[in-house]
Parts: sequence; C-alpha cells; structure tokens
Amino acid sequence: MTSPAFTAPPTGAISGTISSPGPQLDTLDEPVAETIKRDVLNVWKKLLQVLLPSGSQDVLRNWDLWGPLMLCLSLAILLSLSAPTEQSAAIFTGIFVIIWCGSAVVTLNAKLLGGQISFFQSVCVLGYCVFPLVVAALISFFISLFVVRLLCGMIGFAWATYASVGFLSDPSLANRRLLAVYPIGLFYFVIAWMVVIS
Amino acid sequence: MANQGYNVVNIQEEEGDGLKFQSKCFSPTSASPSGAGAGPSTAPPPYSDIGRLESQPAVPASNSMFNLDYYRQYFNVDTNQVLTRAKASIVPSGSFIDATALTPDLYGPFWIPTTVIFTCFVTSSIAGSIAAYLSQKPYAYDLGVLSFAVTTIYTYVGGMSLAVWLAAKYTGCQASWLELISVYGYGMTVWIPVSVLCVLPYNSLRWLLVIAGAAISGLFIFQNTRQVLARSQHRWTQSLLLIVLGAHAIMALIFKLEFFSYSVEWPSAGTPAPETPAPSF
Repeated sequence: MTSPAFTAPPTGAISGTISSPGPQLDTLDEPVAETIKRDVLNVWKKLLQVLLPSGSQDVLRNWDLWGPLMLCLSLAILLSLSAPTEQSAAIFTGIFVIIWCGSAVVTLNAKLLGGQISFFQSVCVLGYCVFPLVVAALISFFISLFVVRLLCGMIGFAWATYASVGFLSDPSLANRRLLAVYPIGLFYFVIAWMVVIS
Repeated sequence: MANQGYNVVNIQEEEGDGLKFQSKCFSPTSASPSGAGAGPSTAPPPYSDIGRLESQPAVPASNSMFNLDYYRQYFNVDTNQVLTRAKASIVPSGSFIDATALTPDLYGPFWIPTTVIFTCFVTSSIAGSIAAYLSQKPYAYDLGVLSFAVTTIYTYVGGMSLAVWLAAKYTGCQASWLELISVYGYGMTVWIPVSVLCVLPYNSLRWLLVIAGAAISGLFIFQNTRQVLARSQHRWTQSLLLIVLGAHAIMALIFKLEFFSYSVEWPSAGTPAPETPAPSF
C-alpha cells in the first residue's frame, strides 16, 4: 500500500460529485428568462411524467411545490369564476384548503400506515395529479351541459387516482394497501365532485 | 516528506485494529482499491443513509408524543380488520371494546367520520338538485354544508368521546380515550349508507332512514359506553348514559334537519315557479 494509491480516490470522488449536478452550477449569470423557462420546463416534464406513468420515479427525487401551487390556483380560479358571486370567495378558499390540507392528511396517513415515502414527495405527486381535474374544470367551464361535466369529472377522477396510486403505492403495505389508497380516492373524489357541480 | 511519512504510518495502524472505524466514517477512502469504479461505488452509501434516516429511524418505538412514529402503533391495522370493525358497529356481535382492546386503532375513527362528512356533502347536493329539479327551480349548491358538516361531526365524535372519557375518569372507571374514540368513530359507519339512501326525494322515508340510523348507531354507542361506565363502583354513573343518548338524538336531528331536509314543492298548474337569479346547474 503506497501513498499515491491512497490519495488518488478522494480526488476521483470529489470530481464525481461536482460533475454530477453539471450544467446547473453556472446559473448565477444567466438571464432571468432563462431560469424561469427552465423551471417551467421542469414542471411541465414532471407533469407529463405523472400523467403518463412510465415507471420513472424522477419526479419523486426532485420534488417541487410550484407545479402543485399553479394547478391548485388555476383550479380554484376556474371554479370560483363559474360559481355564483356570493359563493365565489368561499369556493376559492374551500378548494385551496381541501387541496393542501387534504394532501397533507393523505400523506400523513400513508406514513402512519408504514409507507416509506417522504412527506413533500407525496404532497408533490398528489398536487401534480390534480391536473386531470383542472382539465375537467376547464372543459366544464365552457360546456355547461351536465352530462359532459359528469363524464369529464369521472374521467378526471379515475385518471388522477390511477396516476397517483401508481406513484404512491408502497410494496411494504402488503395487506393494508387499500387503507392507503382509499383516502387518495376520497380526496380526488371530493375535488371531482366540486368540479362537476360548480 | 513529513506528510508522506504520516500517511504510511496511519495505514499501518488501521490495518491493525482500526478497520471498523475506517469503514464507517471514510467509506469513499475504503473503496479506493477498486480504482476505476470509485465514482459509482461511492455514490450509494450517502443516499441509502439518507433514506434510512428519513423513513426508518434506528429507534423503533418512540415514547415522545411529538414524534410521528409514536402514532404508528395506532395505525397498525390491515384492511380486513378495519372492515370487520366497521361491520361490527352495524351488526352487533359481542363486545366491540373487548374485541379491539389489544389493537385499538385511530384509522377508522378518523376516516369513517371524514367519509361521513363528504358523503353528506355529496348526497345533500345531489338531493338538493333533485328537489330543485322536481320543483322546477334552479339549484345553487352550498359550500356552507361542507364546513358545517366538518364542524358538527368532528366536534361530536371528538367532543363526546372526550366528555365520556373525562366522566369515566372522574368516577374511577379506568377508561382509555382510545377505546371511546373507537366507539364513537366506528359508530358513525351506519350514516354512510343512510346518507346515500337519503337522496330519495320522499320526506317520510328520510325520517324513517334517519331514525333507523340513529337507532343502530345509538345502540352500538350505548352498549359500549355502558360497558365502560359499568367498571365504576358508583351506581349513579349509569345515569350518564342518558346524556350520551340525548346527545346522540340531537346529533341525529341535526343530520336530518341540516343535510337531508329538502322541501319539494311539486309545481301545480296555477303557480309558476318563481324566478331566482342564481343561474347555476
């Protein structure tokens, strides 16, 4: 055992950790538009990943709350616009509270049942999976036919539940899977119902 | 020169007895002989460590009330157990408190009232829109129903179980709050089918359904609180059951009058339906 063999690996390890973030390190002197574009692109990529689940767990690894916030705001605005004027503020508040408190409670439930996912990862996935319901709200904002709304709401509910269950189902919850999935379904069902009746 | 010499001495020392210490704290260095594979092989240890720290703490049973893991013991149920318990609250079969004494859970007592809240909201808006359709009026849904349901149902389940627990404590019954909130939480199960059936637009049928629901859940709560209160030496504690039943009757009345009361004014030929400005639905 000689000293060169001993000192070489630390440099290898250091260069490895520096090069892995790679191009993201030099963002200090880039234009603001560039930064925003990249972030929006990231949100969009995660949205696609959540909606067309392909087994990639990348969205879990670097979670963010910007996407959920934007989706939550757009859903709340859409629903409060189509509500009667004396109720619009209450509906905006209601949607906001249901989405954030609901996803927090659902996450807490999964963790208490023994799930291994971290808190914000789960909140992030639950927030992104609201997207089908935002689309349903957008469609029923323009088409006020009840049958169309019901159909949109049901499809949105099924899609949102399917997508989020795919991400959040934990193999360690063998015979209590249903106990973790049921609150997720309840959460999206209530949001879908508010989309349908708005 | 001095530095080089120090390194060599250090390695020889570690080869002797410090092997354990080295592999824990300097994992990148210990992986050095693999040469080219140093980059990838050094990456996993920190990640797996972070994962373990976050999800599976080294101390399995924490005694602190403010630790999440403390509450994990109350969610240690599987699907069949929860379903059996929910069924036992509708179809009485033996003592519920004795059956759940070993593994009390908080999953049912939280999610069953929550389900009742949302079922009440959904079915009351369906029933309201049917009633509005039958009396040919436009329907505007009311989000106030949801916040009212949240307040009443959580207050009833939490408040009554706490009140009975305090009363039981005061009279020396050795009750735990967990078994009482189980009784009150699982006792709400019957309101889920009742509120679904209350969509039907017949008022007398709704009264019948609410009375049946109140009887079933009331019997369940009555039997189990009586068993808890019977542990006391005092005879008069049994009279507390009257308060329990009274509170339950008030709860059932609130259900009927707030969530399931829709007056259907069948439109007669002479009086056209009045125009209201709300154009929704």
